Amino acid sequence: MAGAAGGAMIRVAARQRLGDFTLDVAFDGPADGVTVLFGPSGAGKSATLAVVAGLARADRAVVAVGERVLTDTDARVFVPPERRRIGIVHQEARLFPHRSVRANLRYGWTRAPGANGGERRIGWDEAIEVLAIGHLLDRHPRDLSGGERQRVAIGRALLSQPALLLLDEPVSALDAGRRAEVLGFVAALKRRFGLPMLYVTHSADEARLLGDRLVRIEDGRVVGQGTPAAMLPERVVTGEALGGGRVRVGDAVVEVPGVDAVAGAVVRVSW
Amino acid sequence: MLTPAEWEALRLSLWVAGCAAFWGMVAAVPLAWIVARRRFPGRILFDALLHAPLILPPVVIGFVLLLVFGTQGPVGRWLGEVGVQLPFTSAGAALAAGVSCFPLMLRAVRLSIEGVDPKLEEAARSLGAGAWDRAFTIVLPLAAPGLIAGAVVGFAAALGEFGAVITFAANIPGETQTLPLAIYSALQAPGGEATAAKLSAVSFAAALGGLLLSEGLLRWQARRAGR
Repeated sequence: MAGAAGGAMIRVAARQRLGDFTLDVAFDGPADGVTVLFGPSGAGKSATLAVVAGLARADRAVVAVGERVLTDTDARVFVPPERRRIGIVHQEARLFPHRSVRANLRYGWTRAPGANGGERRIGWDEAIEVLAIGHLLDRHPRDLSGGERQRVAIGRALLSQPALLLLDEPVSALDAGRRAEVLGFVAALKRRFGLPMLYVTHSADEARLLGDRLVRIEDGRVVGQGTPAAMLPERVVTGEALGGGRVRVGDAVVEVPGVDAVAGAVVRVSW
Repeated sequence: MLTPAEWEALRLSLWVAGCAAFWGMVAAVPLAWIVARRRFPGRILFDALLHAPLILPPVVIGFVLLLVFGTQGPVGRWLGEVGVQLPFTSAGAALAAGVSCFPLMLRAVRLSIEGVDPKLEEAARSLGAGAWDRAFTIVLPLAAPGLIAGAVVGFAAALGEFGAVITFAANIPGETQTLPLAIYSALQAPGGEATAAKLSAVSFAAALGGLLLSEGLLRWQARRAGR
């Protein structure tokens, strides 16, 4: 469990009233892994990210990345978003339409710490290679597919040398094929750069695929934290397809609508 | 085709309208920004005051300018001490035309600033761009078509401004007699209809030229922005 090994390096606590809805969350995340904020729509996941990014001001909040305290309402600490070094990728890519892909990527790159000849942790060539966007550099955002747009948005955030990367349902607006494509790149990113990430999703598959730690949020509250495997147990059984949507598992025969494997084939069923 | 005096009126008109549009835009961009983005008590009143020239009779605008910028006015006296005189000068004609047409420019600029998706600005912010940085790299470039439109509308309207100019700057050939004033003078003289008609055609051509120029600018801008 990366969270236990690395210590609690991302600390978030936020309390905010938004009309009838009250957000009241507190959780920790590992320094070099992905913390998944998991829960249904409207649970307060995005509102939490906004507090972390400094784009929303909570009534009471503490946000710290490693030793850096970014928000502490009690101590009257509030670092403005442009100085937080937090990269954000949303459901829609939000690329600058008047700039080429290269200029979009350079926007954060030239403003990043280390831009004046210092050391950048994440290299230009490296990020472009991991996300496979080298052939897109001279194009304009409007000429990109949905998946390409998201990859460029991730690259843009990454090249701004963030201390923390926020991903707010980055693949939810994509169709299944593009989703798998972009998720693969996020997973590659995680292996390559060891950057702490907060990943918001309501998909258990994404949470299991990417998460090192999972924080389940419902109705504005944290209702559980732990490893994705423990929090989202996946039940898988192996059986023999009988045809007609039936599978023999051990001595029992279960109806599994949608199974179209030929009779006799070995199938794995999860639910 | 045109007499030297008529050429002079055309040249003066273009100069006055150009100055009015340029300085009008210099004032309109920050003020439109405040009205579009800031929320403060009295914002509606502030906005209404900025739009006042639109609803005031032009002659009243000229009169108010005389009160403020005239040799006895609070600003005019101070300007006089540093050797600047506005009433009865070309610069004064530009001021009167600019003030009259200011709300048109303000409106175009404001709509274009409001039309820029705040999410893009938010994105720029998370990438490390401060307020001025975002204004010059994201908001103003994306609002450029509206800024061009505002400048052209301001220019075309200033080209035709009559009441405020004649009240504040008078009708001095070669100094403040712009095309509309020259047309008016021609109509006052016996047998001046032909001259008036000719100058009217010139006004029309100048305004049309401005519109064509703006169309060209918009296309160039759109190509550059890759839209």
